[in-house]
Amino acid sequence: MDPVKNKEKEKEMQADLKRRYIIFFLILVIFCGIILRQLVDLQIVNGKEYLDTSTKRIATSGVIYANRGNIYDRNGIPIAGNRMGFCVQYVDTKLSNGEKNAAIARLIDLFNKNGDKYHSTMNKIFSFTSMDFLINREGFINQISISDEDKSFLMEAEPKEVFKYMREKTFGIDAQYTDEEAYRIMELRYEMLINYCTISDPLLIAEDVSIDTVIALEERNEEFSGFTTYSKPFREYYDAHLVAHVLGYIGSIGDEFEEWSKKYPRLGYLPNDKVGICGIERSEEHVLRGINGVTRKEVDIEGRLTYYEVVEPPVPGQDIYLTIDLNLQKATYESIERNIEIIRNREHKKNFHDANAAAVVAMDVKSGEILAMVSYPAFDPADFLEGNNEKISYILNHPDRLIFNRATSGNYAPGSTYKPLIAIAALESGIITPSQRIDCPYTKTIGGLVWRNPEGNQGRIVLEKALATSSNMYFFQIGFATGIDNIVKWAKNFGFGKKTGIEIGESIGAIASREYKQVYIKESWVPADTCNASIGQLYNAFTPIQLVNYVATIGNGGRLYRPHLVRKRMDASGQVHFTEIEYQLTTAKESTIKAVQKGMVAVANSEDGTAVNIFKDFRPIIGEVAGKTGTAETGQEATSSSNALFVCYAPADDPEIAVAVVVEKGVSGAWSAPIARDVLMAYFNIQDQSN
Amino acid sequence: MLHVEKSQSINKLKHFDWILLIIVLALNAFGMFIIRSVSVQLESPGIFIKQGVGIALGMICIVVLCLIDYKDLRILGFPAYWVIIILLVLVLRYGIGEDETGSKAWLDLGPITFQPSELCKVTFVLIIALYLERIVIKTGKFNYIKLLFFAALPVFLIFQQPDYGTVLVYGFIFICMVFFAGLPYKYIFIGAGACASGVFIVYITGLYQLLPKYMLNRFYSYFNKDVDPLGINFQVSRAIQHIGSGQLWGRGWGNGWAAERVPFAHTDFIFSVVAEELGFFGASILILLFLAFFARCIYIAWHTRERYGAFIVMGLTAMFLAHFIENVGMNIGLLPVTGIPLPFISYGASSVVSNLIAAGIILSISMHKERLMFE
Repeated sequence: MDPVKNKEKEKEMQADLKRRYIIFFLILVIFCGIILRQLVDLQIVNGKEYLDTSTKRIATSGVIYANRGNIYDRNGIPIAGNRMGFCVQYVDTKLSNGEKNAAIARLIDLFNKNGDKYHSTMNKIFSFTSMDFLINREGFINQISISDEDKSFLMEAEPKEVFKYMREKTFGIDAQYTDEEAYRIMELRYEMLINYCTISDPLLIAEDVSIDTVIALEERNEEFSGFTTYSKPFREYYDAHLVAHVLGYIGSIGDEFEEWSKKYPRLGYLPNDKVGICGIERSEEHVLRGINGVTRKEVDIEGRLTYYEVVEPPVPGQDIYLTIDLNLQKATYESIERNIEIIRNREHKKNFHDANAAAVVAMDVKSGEILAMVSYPAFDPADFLEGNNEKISYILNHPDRLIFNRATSGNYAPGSTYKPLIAIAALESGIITPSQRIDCPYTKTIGGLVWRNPEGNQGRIVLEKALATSSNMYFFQIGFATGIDNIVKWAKNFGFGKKTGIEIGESIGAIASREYKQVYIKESWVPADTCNASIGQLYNAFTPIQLVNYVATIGNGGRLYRPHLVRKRMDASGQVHFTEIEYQLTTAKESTIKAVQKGMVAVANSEDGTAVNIFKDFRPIIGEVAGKTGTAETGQEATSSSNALFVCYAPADDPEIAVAVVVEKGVSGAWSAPIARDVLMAYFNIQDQSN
Repeated sequence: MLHVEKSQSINKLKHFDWILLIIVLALNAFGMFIIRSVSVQLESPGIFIKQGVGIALGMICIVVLCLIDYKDLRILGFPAYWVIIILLVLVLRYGIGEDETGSKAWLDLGPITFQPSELCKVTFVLIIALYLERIVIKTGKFNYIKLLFFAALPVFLIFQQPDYGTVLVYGFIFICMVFFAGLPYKYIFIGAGACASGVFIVYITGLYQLLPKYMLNRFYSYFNKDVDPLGINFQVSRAIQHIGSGQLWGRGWGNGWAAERVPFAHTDFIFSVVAEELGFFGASILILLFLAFFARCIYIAWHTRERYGAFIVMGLTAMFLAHFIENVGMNIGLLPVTGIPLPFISYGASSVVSNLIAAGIILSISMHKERLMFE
C-alpha cells in the first residue's frame, strides 16, 4: 500500500475519531445538564414544599371510636353505657437513648402517681424480683442482643449479667437510675423494640389512664416526645349482676376477628376490638356496634400532632331497650336468693339441703316479651370489663357454672309440669273428655308393668282433680291410651324440642320419643316408656324458657309467641324500631284449653291442689292464679334432692304474665312456688299481707 | 496468531494519569462518606466496613493492573472472559436472588455474595475492543462473526437470569464502542430509525404483552404515576420527596430521612441520600466529579494512539456513563426504575471492585499508551 496514502487515511480516521469524542462529550454534557435542571427544579424551586411534606406533614389516618349502643330496661333504666376514657400511645422518634429513657422515666412517674397501669410483656419473660428468666430465654435474647457475638454470650450468661447488658448496651440506661427504675424503663423500651411504633401503627402503651395523666401529657408534651393520648369510649355496666345472663358481656375479639369481619364487613372490625361474647351484647353486636369514624392526622417528626381533621364522623351504635323490667328482675333475683336459703334449711326426708341453683323466667302472655329472666347463681359482667384476671377465672371456673344461662340453656325434666300437655294430647286425640271419670287405684298394671299411685287410691276422678292433685295414675293411663306419637306431636305444637327463637343462645331440649330413644339410647320404645314420659320423666328435658312459653300458650288460649328480649332499638337520629311480635297458633280446640286451664286453676285454688295455700291471698286483688307444680327426679335421688319446678300464669281469667321456676335440687315443686309468688307480687305490685 | 507490541517508554510513572486517580479516589471517598451516614442511620456498621474492604480490594487491583501493560490484555482477556462466562453459567444454576424481579444474579460465597455480571462488563469491553481493532486494521478472519459471538454470549446468559437492566447496559456499551470504531453515521441513523419503528410496531401490535409481568408493571408505573402495582412509584416519590427536601445546602450529614424511608437507599437509591443530606450543592459536586471523570477518560482515549487502548477506554467510559445516567435518572424520576447501582457510590462490593478494576485498566492504558506522533 502507498505509505503516503496510508498515512493520509490514518490521519483522516484520527480526525473522525476526535469528532466522535467531541460528539460523545457533548451528549454527556447534555445529560448532565438535564439532570442538574431537574435537581434545580426539585431542590431549589420546589424544595421548600418537599421539605414540609417530608417533615412536618407526615399524614396518617386515624380512628374515632364509635360509641357502642346503650342498653336500657323496658322503662329506660340504664344497664349498659359508655364513658370516655383515655389511652396513651407511642410513635418512634429520632431521639437518643438517653432522651427516650428520660421521657419514659417521667411517664412512669406519672403513671405511678396517678395509679395507672401499663402494658408489659417483659415481666412475663424476665422477672425483676427473682432476677431470672420465667420462660426459655432464646427468643428474648435474639431480640435484645445487638450483635451475633453477644447473642452466644448472653445465651450462657447469668441472668444478672443479661440484665446489665440490657441496661447498658441494648437500651443505654444512665447510671443515675436505680436497678428497679431501669427495669421499669426497660419494660417500655422492650415494648417499643418488639413492636412497630410508626405513625400509621402506633404502639398502645396504656389504656384507660386517669385524666391527670392525660392533662400532664398534653401540657408538657415536649417532655414526652413520641407519646400522645387519644380518647375512646369504654363500656360500663350498672348493677349488671341482676341481668348478667341476659346482658352477657364484651371481650377481646381475638380469634373471632376474621369471622366478624367477614360477617359484617361494613362495621370495620379492628384486630384489637372488643365484641359481645355472650347474651344480648353478642346477639345484638351488629346493632350495638357503631361504625368507627375516620380522621386525617398530620404529625411532625417528633410525633406531635400538627393537623387534625374528621374525614368521616363515627356512627354510634343503636340503643337497645330490653323487654326486661329491671324492678321485676331485681325482685326475682332477690326472691331466688331468699328462697334457696329457705329450701336448704327446710326439714324433709328427701331434702339433702343441697339446693344451689335456679332459673326463673317471667313472660308477657300476650306478646312473648320476657319481663324477667334470672339464672342463679350469677356473676357480675363488670368484672370482665375491668380485666381482673383473678375475678374472671373465679367466674369461669366456679363449680356451679356461674356463666351458664340456665334459663335458656339448662335442660330440666319437666316432671308433673308436663301433665297439662298430656291432658291436651289426650283431649285432642279424643281419648278422654273433661268430665270423664277415670279410676285411679293405688296400683295398676299398664304396658306390662305394675304402676303405683303416690296419691294412694283416688277412686274415679275427672281431669280437673287429676291436675289439682297431680295424679300420676290418671296420667299413666290417659298418656298410655293417647300414645307417645300423639304426645310428641302436641309437645312440638307447644314449642318443646325446638328453639323458641329468643335472641340469645338457647338449647332445644329433648322430647321423650321413639326417635330419641332409637338415636341416643339405641333401643326400641317399649309401652311402659309412654307411662314414664306421661309424667314428664324419661328423656324429657326442657329449658325454663320453653316451659314459660308453653304455660303462656295455655294461658292465652293457644298462641305460641316468639319470646324476645329486645323491645325496641333506637338509632342516633332518634328513630325507633319496635321488635315485631310473632306467634304461631296451636291447633288445640278452645274446649281443650279451657279444660286444662280449669285444672291448673284448681292446682292453686281447690282444697286438694298441690299449691293451694301459696296464692290464696291474691284472689281478692288480682283474681285466681293458674299453675302446676313439678318434682322432677334426676336419677340421683339417693344422694341429692329432686329438682323443683313450678309454672303458672295470672290472672287466670285474663292472663298477663306467665312464670316458670326451676330450682335445682329444690326437693318439691310446691317449694319453688313462693318464688313465682314473689314475681307475681312484684309484677302486680301486691303488698305482702301475711306479715 | 496474537501479536503484542510493547511500549518502550522507560519512565512509565511519568505518563501515569494522576488526575484520573485523584478523581476516582474522590468519588470513592464521597461514596464512603455517604455510606457511613447510611450505616449509622440504619444501625448496621457492617455495610460501611464491607464497602471499605471492597475499595481496598479494588485499589490492589488497580496497582496490579498498572504493573501489567494493558497490551497483555489482548491475551489475558480471553481466560478472564471465559472464567466470567463459567461464573455466569454457575449463577444460572446456583445463583441467589435479592429483589422482586426474581432475577438470580448473585453467587453465595459464604461471607460475601458476588455478582459476576458486574465484572463481566469489563471483560466484555476487553473482548469487543480486541475484535473491533482487528476489524478496523483488517487482520484475522471471521472477525464480524467472532465479534457478534463474543458479544452475544454474556448477554444471552444475563438475559437468562433474567436481568434486563444490565442487558440494556451491555447494549449501550456495544453501540458506543461500535460508534468509536467508526461506524458510518448513516448506519447510526438507520439503526435509530429501526429501533424507533420497532418500538412503535411492538406498541401498536400489542406484542409488548409478551414481556415479563414485572417489566410491564415497571413501564406501567413509569407512565401511569397514579396507579402503582409494584409500589415503585412509592419508592420514586419517596426518593423525590427526600431529594427535594435537601434544598440548596442539604439537611446535613446523617440528618436525612431517606436512608430509613426510601427502600434500597443504601444501594440503588443512594443518590437520594446524597441529595437530601448534602443538598443541591453536594449533588452538583457529585455530578461535576462524574463529569470530570468522563472528561478525563475521553482525554486519555484522545491521546491513546493505539485503537485497542482507545476502544477499551471508551467502552469502559460508556459503561460508567450508562450506570450514572440510569441511576441518577431513576432517582430523580426521569427514567424507569432498574436495579443499576451508582458507580463508586452505591453500596455493593461486587460493583465497587468491578468499577475500580475498570478504572485500573484505564489508568494502565494512560501509563502504557503510545503517544500520538504529532503530539
